[in-house]
Amino acid sequence: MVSSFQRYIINKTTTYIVLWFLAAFLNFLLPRIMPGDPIGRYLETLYNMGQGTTGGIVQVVPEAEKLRQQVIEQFGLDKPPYTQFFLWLINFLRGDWGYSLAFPNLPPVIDLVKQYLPPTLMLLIPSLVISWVVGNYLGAYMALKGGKVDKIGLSSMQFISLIPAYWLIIVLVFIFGVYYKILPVSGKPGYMIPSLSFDYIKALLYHWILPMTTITLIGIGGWSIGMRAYVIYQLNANYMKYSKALGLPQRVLGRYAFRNAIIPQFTAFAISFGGLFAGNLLVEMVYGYPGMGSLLSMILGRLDIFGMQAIFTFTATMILVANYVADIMYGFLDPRIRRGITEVVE
Amino acid sequence: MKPLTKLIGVSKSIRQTLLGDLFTNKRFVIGFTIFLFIILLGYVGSLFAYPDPWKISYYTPGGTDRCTDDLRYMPPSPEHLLGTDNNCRDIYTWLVVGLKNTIWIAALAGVIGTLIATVLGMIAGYRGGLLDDVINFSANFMIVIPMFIVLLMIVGYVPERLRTSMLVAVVIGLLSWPGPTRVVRSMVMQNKAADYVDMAKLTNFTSTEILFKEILPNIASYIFLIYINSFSSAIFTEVGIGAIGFGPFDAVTLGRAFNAMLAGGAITLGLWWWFMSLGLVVVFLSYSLLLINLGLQHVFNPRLRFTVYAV
Repeated sequence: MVSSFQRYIINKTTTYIVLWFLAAFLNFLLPRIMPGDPIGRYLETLYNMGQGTTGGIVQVVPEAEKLRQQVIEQFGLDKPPYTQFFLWLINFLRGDWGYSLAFPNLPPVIDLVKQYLPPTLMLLIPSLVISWVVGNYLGAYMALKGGKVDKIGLSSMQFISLIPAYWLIIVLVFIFGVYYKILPVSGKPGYMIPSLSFDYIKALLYHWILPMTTITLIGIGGWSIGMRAYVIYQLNANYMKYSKALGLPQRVLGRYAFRNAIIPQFTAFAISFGGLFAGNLLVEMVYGYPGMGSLLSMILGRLDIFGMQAIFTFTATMILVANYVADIMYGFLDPRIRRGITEVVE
Repeated sequence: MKPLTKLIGVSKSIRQTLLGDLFTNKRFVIGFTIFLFIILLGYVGSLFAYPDPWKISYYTPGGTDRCTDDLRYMPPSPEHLLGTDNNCRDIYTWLVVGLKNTIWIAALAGVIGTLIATVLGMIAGYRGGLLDDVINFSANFMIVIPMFIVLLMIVGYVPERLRTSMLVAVVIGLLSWPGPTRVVRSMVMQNKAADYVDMAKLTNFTSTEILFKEILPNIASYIFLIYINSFSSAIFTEVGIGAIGFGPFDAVTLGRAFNAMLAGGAITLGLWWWFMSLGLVVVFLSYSLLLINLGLQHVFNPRLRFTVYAV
């Protein structure tokens, strides 16, 4: 006999596995139904690369048709679609993500991700944590204080949360990089090769301050608006009226409201990871910070379909995992679900 | 506590009080004024712009087609209200033309997204059953995957010559239904249980009639709010993908202007009027839409409009 909570976990797990398959399928399907000629593009890339060297691919170009057949065979594109899909899926799970056409030495895509993901996580995780904590306290403060503090606070937070991150970083770069000249104007740590050396990390940190500030500031806006709404909802709940009638001090009431209001924020914390990841791509692209955004802009700009396929699937996987964790966490945090009293209503 | 006379006012003329409330609502008035101002900047402002955003050097009489260094990066002047860019083109022209095009793209994308959301949400909410499960599941699936990434993927695969503003608008619209669908669905489900629907059923209304004649008018105001939201986020999306060079390729949009600004090195050269003008237009446009939305919400929702105290 499975308990309600176990059923909840099993239910969520199967849902997310199905979702992952759907996402992977979408990633597999899109390049194949899009207009344009990916193989032609691949050959073109090869041709352009060969131009710089003597011999090599340039000599094969007159036999383009033959080369095309070769490529189709090499990537298994002549096999029936379902075989292709499962082959690709199995390779993806084994960590064989193909080779990136965006770089002259055709590095494996997984190596690129290993190189570009850490700076992004270094940016996202601290900024998410800081903006979550500050935003929640600010939101709760606004809701509990009420009156003018609430009014002014809410409008300014709404305004902040609407500033596009990719523009805010431009303004910050102008102020601190161009005008005061205390921070770098571009996110690229010079000509240094990414590594785990102390110097590189120091340089990276120096270039990390501005994007970090940008996404944290905007994040605080969003979190505080959400938290304010939840706290106000709690303050109007019946249990709160009852506690007030009992004569509990304001401080205690505030704590009650805060504790209940923070539960949905915990879930939102994990869910927001996906949106933040997407929003952060633009900031990185604009600032040139050496993270996933920069990698993606190189790959998109050079029409590297293998890179795109792998990176988009990887991103989807990461986001689904974050959401899965959020759902399970919600089950743990909400005692009603944990004890199996109520089913979760979507 | 609001005076009771305000409550009695409802019976006098709903329309009068609605409009009256709307224009006494501070948020709405401020938002609407900013919005109007920005629209006017696009339409009246384009009267003061040059006819062709691509043409260079309107400055020299007769105009040469050569972009020389003294025509490049000019500061704001009466001839060029926001100066010129690295290709000697007029930045102000790019701003107003881009603003107009982006508004059109966002308006179209919003219509598509809201229409899909309304239809799907009404079907799912009213019919229930398997159809509801399928729609709800796909909506939840689409919500989990950030639309911006899917959008990047699509525009990344489409070759440049096919990336028209129409295509971008349609793609943004097609990707923006999931959230709104869930909202419409839950509103229809709430309304389905209402007494007036039972009444309609008793008077032998068909399901279609109930949906379109009874429920739809009831939720129409909320659908309008959803539209404003979609419109606002479509502006963000267009500018976002445009800024990194994946926006429409056939027209000057705000996104494209952003891209030109980044490529032109406005930041390192300290040309603050260039990036400030573009950014402020986007920020104030979306802020005005938010204020309009909040104002309308307040007016549409009678429980927020009048403080009615239950026993």
